[in-house]
Amino acid sequence: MSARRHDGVWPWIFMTPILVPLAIFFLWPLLRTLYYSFTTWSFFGEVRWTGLDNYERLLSDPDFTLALGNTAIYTLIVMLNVPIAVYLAALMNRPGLRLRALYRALYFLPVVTMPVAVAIVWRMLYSGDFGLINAFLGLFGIQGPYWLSTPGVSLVAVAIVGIWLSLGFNIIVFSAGLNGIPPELYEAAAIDGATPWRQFRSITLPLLTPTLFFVTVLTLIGGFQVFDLIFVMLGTGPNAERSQTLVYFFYSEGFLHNDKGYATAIGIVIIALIALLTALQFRLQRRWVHYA
Amino acid sequence: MNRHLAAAAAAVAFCLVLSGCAADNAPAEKKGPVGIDYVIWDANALKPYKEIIAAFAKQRPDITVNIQALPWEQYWTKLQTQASSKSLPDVFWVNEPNAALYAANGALEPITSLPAENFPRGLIDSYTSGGKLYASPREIGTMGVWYNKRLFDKAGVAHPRKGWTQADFLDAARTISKKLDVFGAAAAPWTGQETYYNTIYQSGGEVVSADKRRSGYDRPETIAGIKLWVDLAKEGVSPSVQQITDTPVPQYFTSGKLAMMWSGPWNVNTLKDAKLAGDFAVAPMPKGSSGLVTTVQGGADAVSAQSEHKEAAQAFQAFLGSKTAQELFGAAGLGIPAFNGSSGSFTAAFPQWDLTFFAEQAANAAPYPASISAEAWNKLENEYLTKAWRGELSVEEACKQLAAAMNDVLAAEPK
Amino acid sequence: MRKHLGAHLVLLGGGLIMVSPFVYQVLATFMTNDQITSVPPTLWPTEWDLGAYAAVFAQIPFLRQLLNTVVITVLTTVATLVLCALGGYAFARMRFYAKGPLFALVLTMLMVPGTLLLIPQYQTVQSFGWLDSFAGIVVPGLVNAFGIFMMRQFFLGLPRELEEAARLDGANPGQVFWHVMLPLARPGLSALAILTVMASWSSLLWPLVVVNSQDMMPLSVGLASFTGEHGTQFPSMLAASLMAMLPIVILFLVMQRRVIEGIAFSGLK
Repeated sequence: MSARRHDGVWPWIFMTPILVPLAIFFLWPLLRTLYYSFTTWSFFGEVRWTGLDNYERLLSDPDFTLALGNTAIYTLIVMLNVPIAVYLAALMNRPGLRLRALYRALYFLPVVTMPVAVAIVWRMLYSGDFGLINAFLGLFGIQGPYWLSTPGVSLVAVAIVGIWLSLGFNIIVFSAGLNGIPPELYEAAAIDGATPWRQFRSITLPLLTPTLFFVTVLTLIGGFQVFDLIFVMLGTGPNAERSQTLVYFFYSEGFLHNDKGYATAIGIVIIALIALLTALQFRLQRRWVHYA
Repeated sequence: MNRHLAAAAAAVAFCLVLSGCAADNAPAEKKGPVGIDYVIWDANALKPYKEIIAAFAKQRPDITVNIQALPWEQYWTKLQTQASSKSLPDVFWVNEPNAALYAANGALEPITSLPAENFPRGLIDSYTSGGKLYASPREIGTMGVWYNKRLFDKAGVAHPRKGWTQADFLDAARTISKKLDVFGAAAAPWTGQETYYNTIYQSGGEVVSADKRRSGYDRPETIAGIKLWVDLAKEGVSPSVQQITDTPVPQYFTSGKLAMMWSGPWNVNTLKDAKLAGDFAVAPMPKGSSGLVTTVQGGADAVSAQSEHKEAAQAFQAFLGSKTAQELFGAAGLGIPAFNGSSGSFTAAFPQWDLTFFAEQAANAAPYPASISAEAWNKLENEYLTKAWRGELSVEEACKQLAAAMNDVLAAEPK
Repeated sequence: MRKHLGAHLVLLGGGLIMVSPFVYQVLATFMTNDQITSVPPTLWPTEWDLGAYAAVFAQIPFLRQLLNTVVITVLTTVATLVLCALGGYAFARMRFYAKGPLFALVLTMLMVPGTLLLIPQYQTVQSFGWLDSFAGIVVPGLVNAFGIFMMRQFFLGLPRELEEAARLDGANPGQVFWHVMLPLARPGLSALAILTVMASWSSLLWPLVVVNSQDMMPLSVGLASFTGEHGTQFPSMLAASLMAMLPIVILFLVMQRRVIEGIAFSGLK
């Protein structure tokens, strides 16, 4: 190992092509957004400095509390994605399993669909009177709810679509992680007479924790940013207001109420919340993530 | 090292390609022919508008019009972004609340030369603020009652006809729904324009006062106009809020599961292709206690105050408001043109139905209720009226709370 | 087959649930709008109507917009690969001033909701004169935080010994990267490539806001225009989205092994 603390000019040759566009198209817009969050600003350009007003208003706005709660619930449900994906990936990854490519493709299809088509098809599936889902539940004598218009249920319904959309992506990330585990470990364990469940617990799971961490971080960020899906699934229905999430709240204040200053304050708070949770995850990872 | 040079050269070349693409699309210079941008929200209208633009090019060969259709869902998001950096398209479609908003912020160029007497009073009023007209009306959206003749006959109920009343309508809806296994009529909190806005004005109420300072929802007449629909839903004559969320009203109607659908002329294009098209007919709105039977709404064409080619944009706007352009619009079946006396171009395209009343109703229709913050209070309507529809609140209570919330929003509007 | 019967049952059952919405989507493209909106709904097309596919070609310049999408996707993907390889390597292996804060800045990009920066980014692009151009669509998205993060993890997972050896032979960091590390990074780059292709293929709001003419629109924007103010033409919308998906599905089938190996290599620490 060399003792130099810095690598001289080389890192900057590598970093400049990134830092220049980053500064122009991300950092500068972000700083301006930060500034706008301390102002009253409609989109016609007149900006008036109002200090912390937007943030104070946010703290006492019941819509913010509602959106925060909905976002938390949605994110928690979508997190179910992680164990389901691990389980399915582990099944797919069994040595000697045939049709693996087919299975991967089946689970991956939703990842590449156009969001508008997703909404059309799922709204039909969820129909209370005529939907396939309730028809299926009916076979077992269960009376399904009006999925998209029953308070409490509609958020779950959207979260199910959220899981459906991203499951394939996570399965592929996990499959990759599983491929990285040396097969000798399993062979040795089998010789010692470990059951498949025991092998999963003491070999697969620990060695998969770095991947689990990565996926958990990304899923949480994705959950906190949910907007499009809520918008297309519940847009005009009776539950649009009750089910609004943080980014939906931001959009509606900024683009429907034309209160861009307040909306940017909401946006800054969303970033701060996600940053906080991500930092927390990075701290906690030392307790449960095993790096080889 | 050569390879690094090559990589750097490639990077430079890449940037050049990108900026080269930009240069190709830079706006045309002022000398010579002028290019203006025209933005609309209906991709179905692209083809007919090519004709209208061609007709305009004959008058003004020095102007080229570049038309773009945006999806309705993202239309206003994009326009707000453009407005924030003073790059609005030269000419664009507006509706009532957004015209008010953009005009109040000085983003629209007032119209000085449009003969207002050529258009229905209600539409001109909607697009006038501070005594100035800000957009040229394009189409007339009054409501009518689409009905299923076969269901009426089967239940032995007389067909709706000109001059019928709110009471006749309610009777018909209840009788048919009782006798046959279908719904009589349908409304939900988010179908105001088609349904309860009309009954509110029929009953002598209002949604928002003419000076846009007060909500009309706490007035007893307004409450009556909503209550009749909530009652229909309670009795099962109308599908519930939940059912309409899953299955929009037109789907019930085209499938023969709904006797009457209150809606605008824009349905003709879907209805004419339906399998049951032969069963459908349309009648004027029923009368209530006031003289008004419906609201008149309609998109319009506005010129950006930021336009660099204002003269050309205004010339195109004036052409869009001319009889020639309006009749081309109507003949394409896009909607009923706003120009007085040109609605025949539209109605003639659908000889199977008598659509003439849509334009006639515009003469005694209330201007469509809108204000700068309409997007915000439309959400409130949805939120509070849903509580009434679901029976969580009485109609009176829901409307009172709605009025209070809406007054707060209106008070925050710049006046 | 018999050995893994249980696994096959679960995977097949789950897989059928995953694709059933597509089966319906495919069937629905052959229905008339009238049939799709019928109450109660039907599952099987009664007439096998091809009108939806014809309507797609009639209403939007499908091939032109497909070409735009391809151009945008290729430009974005090539640039992303170059930048993410450089940045990922620098963050993984090089030492420089403010490295930690700069990496935190890159991670912050992941956390910003898309529409938040819409207006300031638009103003920046406008000041460059890039409205209605491929540059305006592509350049603001070039720095891909996910990609830099992923490539950093990837390079962290590669053994250091190879670099050390090359350095002892007198190679400078640029040569080490170019001759030694980049070839090893191929699986990671292919994974990033397919993920970037997918994201850029379907991106909607940004291109919609930047593009000012029908002929510059990518397919994702053209498709969205099938939703109108008074309802959507369902069959055409579904048919168009199916046609737009097809190239990506094929690409995935071809690339899937590489994608998975690529992610495996990184160890994702």
